Amino acid sequence: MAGRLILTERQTTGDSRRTTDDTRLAADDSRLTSDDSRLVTAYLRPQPRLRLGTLLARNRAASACIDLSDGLSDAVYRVAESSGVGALIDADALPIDPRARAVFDSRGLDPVEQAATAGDDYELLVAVRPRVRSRPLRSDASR
Amino acid sequence: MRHGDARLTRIGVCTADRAVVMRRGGAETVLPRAAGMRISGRSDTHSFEGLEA
Repeated sequence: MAGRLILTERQTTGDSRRTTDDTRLAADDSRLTSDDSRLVTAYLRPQPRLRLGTLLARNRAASACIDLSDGLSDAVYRVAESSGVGALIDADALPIDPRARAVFDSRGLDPVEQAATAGDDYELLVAVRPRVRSRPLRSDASR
Repeated sequence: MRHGDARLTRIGVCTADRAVVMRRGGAETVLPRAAGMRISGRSDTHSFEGLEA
């Protein structure tokens, strides 16, 4: 089976990709900047992509779809194991919010490892057949 | 690619063999299993009906 693995990424300021225990605990840190606070807000008030997920299902545009609430790697493993395939993830392609990356760096944590293994993010991991291309993107499903 | 307020990013591919690996700096290593987040108590995973397995 060949297919692309695609990740959604929120664009509005204040939302983020991966947030961590550290980010959560940082809520009471007086050294937080306003950007850091937006990371915490994104963590505390996640907005699952219900509409997009429903649309992907309705259009049968995805061969598999799962959210990242238990972490990206968990999602990849679940999709791979359920489908009887493997996966190759490009670390350089992971959309890590620059502010989250800075928080991880400042705490001596590897941003890529955190992005792969931390959970409580509600973006979607979608498996798309090569021939499907951008079909799921042609209808409005902003949420 | 963008969809509404979502930007879609290709992060990898499915492969025929059953290994789940991450390529980083030219090296490929087994993707570590997610630790998950537990502070918030959220550990539910949502799926969408109607998708082909």
